Amino acid sequence: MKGIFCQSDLYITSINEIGMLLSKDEAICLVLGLSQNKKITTITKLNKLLARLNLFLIPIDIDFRLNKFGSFNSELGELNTNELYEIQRYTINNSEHKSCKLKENGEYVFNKVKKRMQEIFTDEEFTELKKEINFLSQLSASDLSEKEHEILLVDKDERFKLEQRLNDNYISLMDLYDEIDKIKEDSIISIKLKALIEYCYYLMKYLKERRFKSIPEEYEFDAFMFDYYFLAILQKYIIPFLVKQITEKDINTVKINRYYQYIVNYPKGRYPFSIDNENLNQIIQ
Amino acid sequence: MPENHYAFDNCSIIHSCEIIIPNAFRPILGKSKLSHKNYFKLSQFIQKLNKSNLKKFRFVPSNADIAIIGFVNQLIVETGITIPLPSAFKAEVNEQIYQYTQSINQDFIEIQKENEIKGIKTIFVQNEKMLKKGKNIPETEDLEIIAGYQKHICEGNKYFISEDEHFWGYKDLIKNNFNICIIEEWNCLAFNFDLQLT
Repeated sequence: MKGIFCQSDLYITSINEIGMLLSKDEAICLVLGLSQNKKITTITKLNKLLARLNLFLIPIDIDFRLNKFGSFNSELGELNTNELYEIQRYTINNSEHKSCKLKENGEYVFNKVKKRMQEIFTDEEFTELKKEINFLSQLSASDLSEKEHEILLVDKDERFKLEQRLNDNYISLMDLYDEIDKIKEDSIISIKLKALIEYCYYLMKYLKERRFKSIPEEYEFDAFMFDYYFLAILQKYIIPFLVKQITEKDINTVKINRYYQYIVNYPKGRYPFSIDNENLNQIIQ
Repeated sequence: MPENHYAFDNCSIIHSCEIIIPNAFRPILGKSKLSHKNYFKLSQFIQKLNKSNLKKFRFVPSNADIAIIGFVNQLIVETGITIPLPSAFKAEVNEQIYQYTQSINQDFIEIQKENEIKGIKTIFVQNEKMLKKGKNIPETEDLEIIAGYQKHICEGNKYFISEDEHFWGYKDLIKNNFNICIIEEWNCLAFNFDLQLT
């Protein structure tokens, strides 16, 4: 999604089927706005904090790769000062770094994004995001990378945990998928709930039987960020929610829409397991 | 010249939507778009109304969810194909139709349905016809539409576009008793605008 400045300097975002998809600049403003002193001291840190938004199921228009050193997007290294943020160059120990600071226009965009997020985030969830990004913004890039590895189970000596996560998620989703016919198709949102369970089940099947069929012993280079993020997000948020939701009478429309948007809509054109991929049928068989 | 009014059954509004099939389902369905058999006629008819600056109406309150779900299920059955990820397919199509109706509904002026339908129902019961669809007497919602439209002020002719046999099956009765002209969805393009306008 591209953002544009109109003459009145108001930031406008074009309509997109992924209602909450943040453009690159919107995501940067969000991270900067939530960081200490509205500033990030290195682009490497900015990379990792932007990637971190995925763990809050916030779709952003930046594709990350994942390797030994954590999430990265090479294009972020080319960031230049614009109307929203300022890139400052500095040298430490003979090596050149770039910091990024929010400008006044960026503050305006940050507030707009914050307002939009209130539609899908509760106050508590937004406070949690704010606390986390603020805390992480004070850590070093290597600490950030380490924390990310812990959550995503990227490290090679944690392969057994990754395998355990694969198995746990798959079993839970098999159980949920067995219950799917109990959900009545009497509203659009109940069909979406069924679709979310069905989609997560097949996604998990793909991750277990194809993507991680044989887990590499060594670090992966250039893995899709979704491979690891989906596994973590399914375990932390989506599966517990679905287990609860399937037995509850009241449907949580906001959460179903938010999870559906992240799991089904966001990967379109970004990941092989996507309803945008014309070969999906072969993948799920 | 008195202005004619054109009101649409909610299902007919939905039938005027063309669905873009997500890529993953295209090889299975063998096409990239999906629509109701009257889609082309309805969309042309709506365009014609727009070009002539003729007002369009719809009835509220309406249960959009039920109408959309019913339509999508019908479309899936008509394909005769077992679709993989059936719930995801339905959810995607539902969403498209929902977004379409949300956008197009703004072009339609709302007419309130009328709850008082006792007198109207009696007329149908007294003139019951054998319909193909089984239930011979129009349902409560259908009667509320007729009652609402009857109450609606219009100096010209009142037209109602629908695919429902509960309306076209009683075309003459509805015209004679409630002064509402029923246009069958599939006949809407044959409807002679110019003649009605003069």
